[in-house]
Amino acid sequence: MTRVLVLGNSHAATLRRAFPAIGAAYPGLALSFWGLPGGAFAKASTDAEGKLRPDPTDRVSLRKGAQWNDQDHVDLTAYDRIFLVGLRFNLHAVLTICRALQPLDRGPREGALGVSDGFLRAALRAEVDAALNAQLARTPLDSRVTLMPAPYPAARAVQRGSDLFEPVTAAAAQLEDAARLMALYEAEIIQAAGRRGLALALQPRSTLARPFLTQDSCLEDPDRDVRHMNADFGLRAFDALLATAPPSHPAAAAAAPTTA
Amino acid sequence: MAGSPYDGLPDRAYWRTAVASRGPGRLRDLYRPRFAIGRDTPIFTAGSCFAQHVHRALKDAGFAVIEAEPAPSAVDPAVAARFFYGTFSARYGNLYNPRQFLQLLREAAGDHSPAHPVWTRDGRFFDALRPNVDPDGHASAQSVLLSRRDHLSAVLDAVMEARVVIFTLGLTETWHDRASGTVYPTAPGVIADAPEGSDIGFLSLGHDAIVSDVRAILEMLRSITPDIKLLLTVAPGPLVATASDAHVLPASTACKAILRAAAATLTEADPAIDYFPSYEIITNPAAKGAFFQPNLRHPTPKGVSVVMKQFMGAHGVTEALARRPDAPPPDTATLRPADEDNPVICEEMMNDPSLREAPP
Repeated sequence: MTRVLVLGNSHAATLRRAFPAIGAAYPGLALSFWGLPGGAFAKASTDAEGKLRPDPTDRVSLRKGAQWNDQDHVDLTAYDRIFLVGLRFNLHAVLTICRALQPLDRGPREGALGVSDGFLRAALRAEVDAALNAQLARTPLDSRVTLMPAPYPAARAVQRGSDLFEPVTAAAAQLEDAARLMALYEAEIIQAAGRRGLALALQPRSTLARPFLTQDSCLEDPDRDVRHMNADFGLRAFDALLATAPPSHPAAAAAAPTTA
Repeated sequence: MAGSPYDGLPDRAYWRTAVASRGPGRLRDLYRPRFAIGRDTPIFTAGSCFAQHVHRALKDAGFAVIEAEPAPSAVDPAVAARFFYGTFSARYGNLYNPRQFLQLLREAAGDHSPAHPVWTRDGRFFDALRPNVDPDGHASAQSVLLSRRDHLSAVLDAVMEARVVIFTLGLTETWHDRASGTVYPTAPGVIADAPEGSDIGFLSLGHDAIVSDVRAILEMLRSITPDIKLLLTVAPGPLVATASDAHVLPASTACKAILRAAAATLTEADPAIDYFPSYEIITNPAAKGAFFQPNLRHPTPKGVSVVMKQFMGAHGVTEALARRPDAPPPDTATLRPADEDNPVICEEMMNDPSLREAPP
């Protein structure tokens, strides 16, 4: 049996909800889950023995850890493959940059600073690298790990919005070049992972409504939440993670073509 | 017995008392400004790589340094700096000689169209007049031209705002289109390649050419701001390489001598031009080379700090800042020179093939 750990925040929990379907589809896998809500997961760190724990100084993290998991820690050395789900790669900053800068090979855009495409890519790369470096500083990762970013918010976020990142997402999604910008961002996150010897699976294309937005039908609770997806999404995400081969060499991964 | 004209002069007039007996960082009364530069004086900076130190130090010290193309706030500052945002008063990159500067001003004013403005390499397109401000180039020639159009507008804005221009003279060697005279900051092949059929050749600017170009710059600036002031400095670093067929050491000496002499000629004739001796502070024998990094070219952070402290002190900046009710007194000892975290960007380095970065 291949021991697979699904790890991460509330977006990883989406895959947890799909475990019955995943187990049926992949009987050769021994599935485990360990997670924390976003804020708590962002504070969790791994010790020298490879045990990932909530921040021991944060009572909320400890309480949530106990609610979410059977164990107060997870031993990352005990798995053949680890799917780390839900990283945001500084998406808010990425989208802000996408709106603020316009690569001039696409012509000027009102209200945006005209720049070279190289500058836009470098700006995106800095955000993505900073996010991944912060994660790696808390928890070193190796080639057993495949990353999947948090899903983009649902298309209805364009109408509903929130005080978080959805308004920015919605505005970026409405840009004429949104598809190209999303492709640039996704290429950067794949390459950032590859440079660190990690694989990265993108959100399944079949779940996208349009660039930067997920289909409303993927939502777990459409009336209350435009960010968290349902078990069907979780199964499709797991399929994508499983199908993504670990990079054989960091340089090879960095140079690999992307699906974007 | 009648005394000599050298008798009874102040200490600053004698090498023994002014230099030899003083530490290199403790030169006194070295620079007497011809005109005041206050914290509120709009300053336009340009020049060779050393000018980046000047711009940064002035900005950090609270001077009104003009930035008409500032770093976009959403972008990581290190990335913005690598693309020359906020490095000078606009994103013209390093202007190594006054002919480059003059050409830029004429182009911004609509009086000049550079020949061969777009160079290429590996399918990417570069602004031939500032190829290193977008080190990966652009995706298209049209992108280069649109970016340049925006840039020229920013240059004009910056010039119109300026009351003092600080220009660091860096090199006398340059590259030009023989037919039109357009000058370029890098030779073909260093960052990008000139179009096929173009005739780009080596040009060595002499003293008279430097003087003439600076005077033409000032004339243009005065047409916008009649009482504009020009402060010249000479970059202390020797040449990375010379294309003159001479040994690089005498070539460097000749270059700096020409620039320094031109600065002297210019300041002597025009009270609106001043010279700040940053070159002398870094290279003076009392420093015994200690203000150069191990490559014997780049100034050390300490050297830059000494230079800027001399400048600030001469302009009474410490006092001026301390009077600000909303600002703590400045600590000039912590002036932020370029270091490993804040490197200056100098495409001249790429004139030595061994110093070029490996392609990604």
